[in-house]
Amino acid sequence: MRFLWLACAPIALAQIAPHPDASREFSQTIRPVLVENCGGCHKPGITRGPAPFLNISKVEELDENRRLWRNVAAQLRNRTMPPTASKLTEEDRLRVSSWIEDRLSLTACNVGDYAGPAVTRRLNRREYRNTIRDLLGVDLDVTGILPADGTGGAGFDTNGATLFVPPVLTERYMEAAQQVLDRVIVTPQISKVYSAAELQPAAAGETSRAMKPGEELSVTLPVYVEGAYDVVVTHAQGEPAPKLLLKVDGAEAGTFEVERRRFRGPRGATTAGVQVTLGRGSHTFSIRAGESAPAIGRLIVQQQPEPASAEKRALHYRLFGMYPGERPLEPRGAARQILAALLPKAFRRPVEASDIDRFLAMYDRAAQRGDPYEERVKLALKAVLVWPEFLFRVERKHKEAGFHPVTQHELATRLSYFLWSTMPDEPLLRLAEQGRLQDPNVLLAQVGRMLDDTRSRTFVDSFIGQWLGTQDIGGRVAPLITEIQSYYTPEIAADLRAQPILLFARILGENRSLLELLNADYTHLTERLARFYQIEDRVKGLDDSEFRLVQWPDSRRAGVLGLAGVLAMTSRYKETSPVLRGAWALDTLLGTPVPPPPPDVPPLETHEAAGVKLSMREKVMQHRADPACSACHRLMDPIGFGLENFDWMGRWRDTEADGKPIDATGELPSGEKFSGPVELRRALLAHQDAFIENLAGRVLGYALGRSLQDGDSCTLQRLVQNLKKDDYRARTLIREIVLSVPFRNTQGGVVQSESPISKPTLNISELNARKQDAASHNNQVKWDKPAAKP
Amino acid sequence: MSKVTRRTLLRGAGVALSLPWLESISSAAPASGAERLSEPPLRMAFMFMPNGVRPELWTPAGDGEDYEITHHLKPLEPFKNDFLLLENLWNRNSVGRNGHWPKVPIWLSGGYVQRTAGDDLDTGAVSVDQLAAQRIGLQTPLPSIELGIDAPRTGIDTAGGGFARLYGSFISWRDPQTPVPKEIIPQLAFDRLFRGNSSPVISGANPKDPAVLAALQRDDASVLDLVLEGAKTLKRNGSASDRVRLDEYFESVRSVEQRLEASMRPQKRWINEGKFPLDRPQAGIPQTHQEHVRLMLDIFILAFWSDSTRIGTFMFGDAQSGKDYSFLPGVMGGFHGLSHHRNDPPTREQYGKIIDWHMEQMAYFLGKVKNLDEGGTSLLDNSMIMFGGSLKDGNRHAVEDLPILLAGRGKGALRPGRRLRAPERTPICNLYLAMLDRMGIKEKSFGDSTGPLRGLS
Repeated sequence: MRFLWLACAPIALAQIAPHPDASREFSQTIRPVLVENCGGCHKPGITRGPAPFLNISKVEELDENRRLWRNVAAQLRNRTMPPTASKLTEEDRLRVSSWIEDRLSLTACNVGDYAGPAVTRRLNRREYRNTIRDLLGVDLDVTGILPADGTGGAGFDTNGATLFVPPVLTERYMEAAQQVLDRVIVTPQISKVYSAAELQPAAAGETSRAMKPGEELSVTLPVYVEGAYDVVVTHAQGEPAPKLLLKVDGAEAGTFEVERRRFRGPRGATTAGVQVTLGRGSHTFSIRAGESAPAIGRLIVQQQPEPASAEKRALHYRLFGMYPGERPLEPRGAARQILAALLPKAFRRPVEASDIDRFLAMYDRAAQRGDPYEERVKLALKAVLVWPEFLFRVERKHKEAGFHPVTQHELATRLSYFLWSTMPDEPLLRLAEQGRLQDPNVLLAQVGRMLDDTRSRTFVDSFIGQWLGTQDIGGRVAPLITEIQSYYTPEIAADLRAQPILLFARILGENRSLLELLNADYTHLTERLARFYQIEDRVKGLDDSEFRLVQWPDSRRAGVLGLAGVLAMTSRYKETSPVLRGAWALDTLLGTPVPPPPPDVPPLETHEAAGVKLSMREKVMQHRADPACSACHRLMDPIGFGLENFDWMGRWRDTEADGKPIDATGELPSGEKFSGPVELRRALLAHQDAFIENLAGRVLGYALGRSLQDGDSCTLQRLVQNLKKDDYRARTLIREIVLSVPFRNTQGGVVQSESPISKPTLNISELNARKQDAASHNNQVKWDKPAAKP
Repeated sequence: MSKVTRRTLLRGAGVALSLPWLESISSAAPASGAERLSEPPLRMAFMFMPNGVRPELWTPAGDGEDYEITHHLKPLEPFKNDFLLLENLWNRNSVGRNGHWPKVPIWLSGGYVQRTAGDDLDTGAVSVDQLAAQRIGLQTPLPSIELGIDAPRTGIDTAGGGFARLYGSFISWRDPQTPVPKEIIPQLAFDRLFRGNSSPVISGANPKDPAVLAALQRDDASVLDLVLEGAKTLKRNGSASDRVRLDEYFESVRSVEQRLEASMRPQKRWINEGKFPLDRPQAGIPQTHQEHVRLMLDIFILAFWSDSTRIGTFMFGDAQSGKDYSFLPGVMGGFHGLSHHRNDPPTREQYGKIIDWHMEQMAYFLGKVKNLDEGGTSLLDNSMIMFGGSLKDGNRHAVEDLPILLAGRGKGALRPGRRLRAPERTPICNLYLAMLDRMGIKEKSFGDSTGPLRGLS
């Protein structure tokens, strides 16, 4: 149900049978508009040519060409069609696109479910971090290593389509893998002693060696672990110590004196020398004599002792089954066992001997070189951590058309990345191995277990933060600025980000109604946050160390529309924006995207007569006098007007800056009148079906990791019906999603890549039309709607 | 015991080949087979500033080639003879729709941005820097470098026309669908120049030599070899529609592997004498915006000076950057917020100050580049440095007559010190076509170009 609920009377979602008047409406009020405005290029009655949607004359035929008509609606709504020269009014544009979308929703289940293609996408940054943590026990802060992910489609970072794989990513994965393994594996420390004779160029059998002035001797040594190393040269006889120059890989590292005493072993030989920090690799150490010619004894390279922490030793033990320093009797066999245990977890599937052999080849490479056992295993594991089946979720595709249940392991993987953003744990993998996970009862029991687990908090955080857009508060939205630092601090910004998360966590944790997102009369506060809201006198017993669950003192603030973070995020710098707030509520809460402004709209300020200060409402109202604007603004603005009592930082106000009382009245196009946030909320709750459908669609998109497509409409409708039957309980939504056809199946055969709901696709004629667009715009005054606030 | 700094680590850690300039520090350099270029190469940079300018403070009055320095350009006055003020250039495809997001990704390409909800981003074209990197990038250790200040934005700007905000975070696009992420962390950017990967490189190594093949340094390359060998099996099993992403990964692996191999082979490089005064930066992002910008600019210069790459882009901020500039005297607020001053004089003044600050940073940059000697000529002489933005008047989102400077002599292929007024609404792609030509890349056309921009030399 999109849009139309606002324009006309709401249509009950349960009403799936085609509207009796639909056929008449289509032929009398919808198709004629399209014929008039689109018929020039999309000629009626012709099956060939660009997007032949006017080829049909009956509404039933529309139902059979869903994809095409979904596209028609999206093009209209997104203003990508018809070209600018068209006389199509804004009113008709909205009316027709909404009509088509509603029609498609009503008839969605006529064609049944759609499973969607097999998913192959890389782990996003959050998933990568969690997966490394659960696989090897290391919490690696990847924000400094991996680039941030894009989001798209339903707007989430789980969307495979926007998880790009730029070339730099491979470098970063290599780097991250090395860092992780260096933190898990304890490699014996290097302590190498070279006799003078071993230094290059080699000399025969000497225990000491007289260097000529300016002579250079060198030795090459493999270094496995980045760190600090001491280089010391001892002296053969008790002569005065001449200065030597040390070079590492040809670059000067420092000068130092030759040790005066005879060599007595590495521990005692660290009083003089040069300390260098070395990276992994073969390093060449050269010593060069100065004017005087010293006689030297030994060259010692010794890693700075850095005892492995208890934690690291434990991780090493967990991986090797042995304490650091212990070596297996049969190293290659032990390495094979390590891989056999790790690979099924890392690749989230059963493995075969050939899988293990592949990585053992890396072990062999290091073994042939004489690397220590630990380093051989490390190299093999490094390959594991950049292997595509670790970095990507790879699902099997099917040639035969129709639904194909995903494999047990694929299902375990889908489930754990949905609710935990990490790899499946032991119980899930065990159930997968036993082949029991597709059993609905088993599946639901796992969903319950997983939601009760603290790891489900990562789903709550990332879903709410991305859906509402509140994760960027204090950063890119509602940024911290000096001007208001007295009351808007980094701690407040963090609290504002947390508020909607805690709300959703409670709803999900206690299986409460999802409608509480709109009308919860409780919230979570800290003492400082209560001060920010200016209600510290009315809410007692708070402190700053943790959030407390409290009742709001009054009902103004109920639900997410009362949260200051949301209200600040949708304001402009130092002024509220009824337009932005309204557009946010329409799109984010009700799933009714607002079209972009037409290209030739004059800016707000030109309406403002010189010298006369208008209130925000007056400015916006003037703007709406223009019929090109009013079609959308009469949808957006009233919602924003109802929130005018909240200032640009979301704090309560009774008057405008100039002392005039706030006028918070408005009227929805569907006729409900209201004044202030309490009544506005009540009016919006009358459209709870739209809210629930939108929310269900967002969670479904997050779970599937893709944009919803027309084929998902039926699945979505069933979700909503089942939710309604169960009083909109939060866990029912999660359970229904997990049980749904697209979550447990993939679509076989040639899955046509289809345009997501409300997204335009490009074809040649459109491309040409756009070029004309661009050309014809040149002579017009340009103004774009300034988008978000600073 | 003498401590060796982290910087010496990088020098000492066997980075001889990727740090050819070290040879001048140490007389007996390792047997690097790197051949030296006999003259400095030509470099090309694109530097982006978000949120527009105040037109009345940018464009000089009158029509003449000779011109009075305007308020915004004042910080660049010492370099007046080193840059061209280019006028009347624009991107016709950036007209209308949203004020910021779709204008930025096509700044360097002239493409047309699809208004998608984030799926299937499409900017319609490859950016000029990436095209150049694809053609000549393998001549240097890094094909190109992309630096910036802001982390990419996410989500869809529903109120602003439904564009994915991601669009506004990148000016470099490898292909119409794929942005090249910019590095914003100084230490990582620095290391990228000198390490490429965590292993030191083998100087002048012959990759056919079994000893080299087995070397520790080649471990990363052999790990990547293994991944590529496995690619076939995986591609067979992957799903048709998603194979693209796996292919992207294999392509990424292949390119890194090639780069690793290339870095172990001799490359014909330009080697500057002396030492570049920049220590390896601390981890993380510097506390203040000024420090951050300066440091990234220094690294950008170092990338050119060390001939690690010859092509680069830099973003002072992303589209619609709301960076708080309260650190400037008299400014209270964020860049984007103030840019929409609605002709309120105090707000407009603050907006102007933020632009002035950017011009001061450019003055710092140009000053530094001009002072770097490359054997008789300066680094600036051997560069083409374009600076500007995708908006003229930030308040109105005006897109005509973009504010554009082109600094440097382009090794004699540019004649700076002038104001060059192209015919109104000349495609900015004409400029790119002309720059590509000077880089030795012959293209018939680029984007919506109608021919190379005339009058540059």
